[in-house]
Amino acid sequence: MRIGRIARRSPQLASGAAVVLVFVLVGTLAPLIADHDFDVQDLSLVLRPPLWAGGDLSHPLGTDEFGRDTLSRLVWGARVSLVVGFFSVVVAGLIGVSLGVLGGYRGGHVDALLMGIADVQYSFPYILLAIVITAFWGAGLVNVILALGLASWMTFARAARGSTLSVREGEYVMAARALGARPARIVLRHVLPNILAPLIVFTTFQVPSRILAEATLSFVGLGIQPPVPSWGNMLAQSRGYLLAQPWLVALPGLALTVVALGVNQLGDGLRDLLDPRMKHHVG
Amino acid sequence: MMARIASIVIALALEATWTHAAPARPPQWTVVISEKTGGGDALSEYGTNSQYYLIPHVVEPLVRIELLPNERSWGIVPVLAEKWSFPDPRTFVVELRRGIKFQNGEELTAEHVKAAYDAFVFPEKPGRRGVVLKALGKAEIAGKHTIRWSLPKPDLSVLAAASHLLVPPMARHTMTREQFEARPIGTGPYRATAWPVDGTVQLEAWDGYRGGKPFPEKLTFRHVPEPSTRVFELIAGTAQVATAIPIESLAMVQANPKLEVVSLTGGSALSYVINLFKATPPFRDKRVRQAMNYAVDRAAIVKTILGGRGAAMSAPLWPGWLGASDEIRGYPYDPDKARALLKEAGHPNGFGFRWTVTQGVFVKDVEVAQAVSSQLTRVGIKATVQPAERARILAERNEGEYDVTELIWTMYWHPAILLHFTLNASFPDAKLTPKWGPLPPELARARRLMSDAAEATTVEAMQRAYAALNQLMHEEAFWLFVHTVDSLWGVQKDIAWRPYPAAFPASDDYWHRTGRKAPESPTVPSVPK
Amino acid sequence: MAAGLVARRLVQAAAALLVVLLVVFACLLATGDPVDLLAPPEASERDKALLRRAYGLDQPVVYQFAAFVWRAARGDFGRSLFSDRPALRLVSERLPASLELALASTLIAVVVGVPLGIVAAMRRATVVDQLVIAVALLGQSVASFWLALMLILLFAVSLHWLPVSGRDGWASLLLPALALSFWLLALLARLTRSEMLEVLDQDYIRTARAKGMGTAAVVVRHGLRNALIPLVTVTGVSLGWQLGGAVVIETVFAWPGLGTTLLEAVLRRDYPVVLAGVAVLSAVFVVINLLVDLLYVYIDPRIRVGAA
Repeated sequence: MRIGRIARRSPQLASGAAVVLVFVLVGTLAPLIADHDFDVQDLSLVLRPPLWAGGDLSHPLGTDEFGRDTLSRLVWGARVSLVVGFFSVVVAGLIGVSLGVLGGYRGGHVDALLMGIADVQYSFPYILLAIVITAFWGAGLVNVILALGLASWMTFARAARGSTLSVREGEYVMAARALGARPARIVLRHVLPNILAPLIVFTTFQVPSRILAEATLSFVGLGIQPPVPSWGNMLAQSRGYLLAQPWLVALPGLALTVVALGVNQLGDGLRDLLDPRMKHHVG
Repeated sequence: MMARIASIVIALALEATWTHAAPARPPQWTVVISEKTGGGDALSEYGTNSQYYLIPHVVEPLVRIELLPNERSWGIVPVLAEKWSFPDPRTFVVELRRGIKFQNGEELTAEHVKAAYDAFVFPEKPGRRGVVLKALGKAEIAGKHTIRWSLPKPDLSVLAAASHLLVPPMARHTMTREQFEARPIGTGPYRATAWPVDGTVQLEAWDGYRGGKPFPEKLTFRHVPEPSTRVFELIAGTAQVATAIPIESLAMVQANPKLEVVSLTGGSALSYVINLFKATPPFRDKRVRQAMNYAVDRAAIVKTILGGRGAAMSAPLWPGWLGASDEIRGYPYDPDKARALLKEAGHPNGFGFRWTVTQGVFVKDVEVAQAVSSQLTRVGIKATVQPAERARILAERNEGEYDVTELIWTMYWHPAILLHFTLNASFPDAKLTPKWGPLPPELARARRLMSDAAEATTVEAMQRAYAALNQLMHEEAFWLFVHTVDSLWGVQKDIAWRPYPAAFPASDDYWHRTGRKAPESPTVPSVPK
Repeated sequence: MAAGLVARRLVQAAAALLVVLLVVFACLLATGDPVDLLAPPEASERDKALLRRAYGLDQPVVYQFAAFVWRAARGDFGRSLFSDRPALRLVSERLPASLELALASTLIAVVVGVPLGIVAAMRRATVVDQLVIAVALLGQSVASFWLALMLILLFAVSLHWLPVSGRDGWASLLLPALALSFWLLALLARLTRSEMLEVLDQDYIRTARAKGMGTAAVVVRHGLRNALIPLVTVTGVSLGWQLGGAVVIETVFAWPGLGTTLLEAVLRRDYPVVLAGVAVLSAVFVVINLLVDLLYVYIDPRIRVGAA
């Protein structure tokens, strides 16, 4: 009942959540849904077109350069890409927000040191970090997540710190401090809620951008390793087929766009819901 | 005796007059290459392969390794050298051509060659060229145009090594490296008008060249790392030649009426070295290795993954190498035989192994590995393909830790280096024997054949020894043999260019002897093998 | 106060840099012997040992690092293992191209993205708004290499308006900057829009609008002021990232920037170049972030950055 009410008030939230839910389900149930395994090759059936371009039902979305079924690989890829996208943002967010709020609130040496580390870590793009991590622990799902998370916490930290700096001087906080409230309490009750809304907007950008970051890692050869498919590595490896077999690039790209849309709608909806000032405005 | 080497070498390229370009051919060519352009100093290393084919436009070597007119074998072609001989197995004598001028007016003498040689071989950090040239030993001037080397041991491969000996003017030795890089000078057909390190290289034809002014008038080399972009440059008409065209883009290039694909058969090859020391996985057993080879459908891989631009291979030396032979029959695709061999060897249910490959370093490296692995699975062999960085793969190889590791090689005519790499460097005895037991007998035999070849005193004897080694490695399935791949270029049709013969100029005599018609205009030694 | 801020920042940045360099150094050397990649395949073990000695790679890691720091403090980052050119010079040569690209791309993103966000907020829930949201969505869900290749296909190959790749004059900067800017453009548009929307809902704004006071100008001014902090943050961060992280764009457009240089150096374990690159990029970031912080103070004087 409550869900129904929320859905009516914010169709955005509803549609976003629905899309995300569908993809999460597809990803989770991949072994059951997919017709073929992601690494089954058939060299006699390479580069078959999808249904609408002359293909047949055995491979409705065509095949790739190894004769692997594109639809199945998209389904399996959903699982991998969503996991990468979501968990790397979680890792980055946890580290980043904690450090950013800490620095912004405490100021002084703590702030300067944390921001110093952030500054310097910007010096090497996440690709470098990813290499270092994969060189030590090998490539693979967990390490890609770690690499992407560790590489992007600074953005969260900076955003959280910036907002904290603003809020810190705001009325409520100053009042609370004047009343002698403990810093942790102030942070929890005043700082965090105030930075939450901008952070949510910011975060909703991160998930699809992390999935794309994995595509960049694949472009360079360090993302999720074949034959395991991710939308990112499917995109990267098909780029040579851009003109001749465009569906190989277009389909993972389309999947990404739809997921991005869904996550954004979800994020927008959440922000509307959580931010009291936005209560009366929908969409 | 040594004199018979001449039979392998094509006749001296005579000075030839150039036929001037037909008006239709554009006089300025832009070549987009897949590697960084490096710098123009012949005596320095730049960490990029292009230094081997760009610098020789300006600063020439003694000899060159090249595809011979029969378009099947490769051989040594004289450039600055006129002829050479081995008066005894440990002496190598080279006679230079007379009257060759440098772009700064100096005239080429033996002094130039010795100075260049010493500069390559003796600095504290010998570069790649220095390491290869070291085999020539000590250089002495034996006449105005004659140099003599005292080889530390008999070694006919110095002929191939001499292709690394680039000869700059004496002026180079009183300049710093940066000064020379700013204005590279040599004996070559082109002058450098601009050569910023790793930047866009601009060359212009030099009319003082001994073979006459070359064509095209202006050459520009640009580094464009992304293959799709190189193809786009061709299609847009802003580049005349694009190197390393990816297989998937071939159709696009061929479909364009203004473009064509030019290929060089067997430019390079991909196979996998099996660690035959190991008992687990059971690689000591030749039947297991042979089973792996029977399980691979090379024809399908060449056809589908390489778009037909390659050939199956079943022995380390594919056609073109010294020692290659047409008689070696391949390993046909026969999964039943593979299973039978496995069963005979005591592995009816197959086994598993780990396999490190590079990704994106070589044409279709990881793709071929995936295809092969998938084929191996059908006979019960479960290969775990692990794409890894090259640095890691090399480290593993040096420790002997690999099960199966990747081997990529380009055509070089003389197989000593390739075989040393695969029979010695890939099997570090000191690390492997404690863990896995004594040297496998077939490897011992192979190494013996290799040193027989190195000590051969005639090229024919060398050829026989390498042929025997080739046969041995084929029969004993030292490698998981897969395929050779053609080198591919995308080219504007209106420039009428071919990568071979790379000799420059193309002499009338050369074409006359082979009974073929010379191409309408001379070719440019600009692009890699 | 500003001077104190700067001084403190510099000291802390230097300390952090040292730690990071040590980590990078150790990681690079521990995960792959550069001599393997450096030495030609035909090199014997003895050749390699000689090489190791020549490059000082046979010393213990701590000693190598100490030697490195000692030299680096005087501007000598060593020489590239592969081309024997001074590492710092190699890196500095590539910096201008990266700066050019990053600045051009940021400029495009700001000049196009912010106004789009404003317009979308002012015309909320209209078609214009939806369009802007759609553009923003595309911007953050499109792979940069795909976008880059599409741009080349359209503007260079089909229309012949612009060069395909390379760095040669203003025309060649346009496509790479466009491709690189798209992501930031989308982000700025959305951020501006959302911040403006917040402002639009404030009571005092509503009152002002209700009273019919010069809405547009007032709203924009207040809205922008509100948005400035996050906008400046994001732009500063992005500018920094684009310097070292534009590897894909640099590769596709053959733009001779720092990203590809660093990547290649890391893959080859050319550690002098990697360390020089990290140091140079750090210095640039420290400057950018200092500017950003000073901007914060300027925008919102209530903020006392660095005070407890």
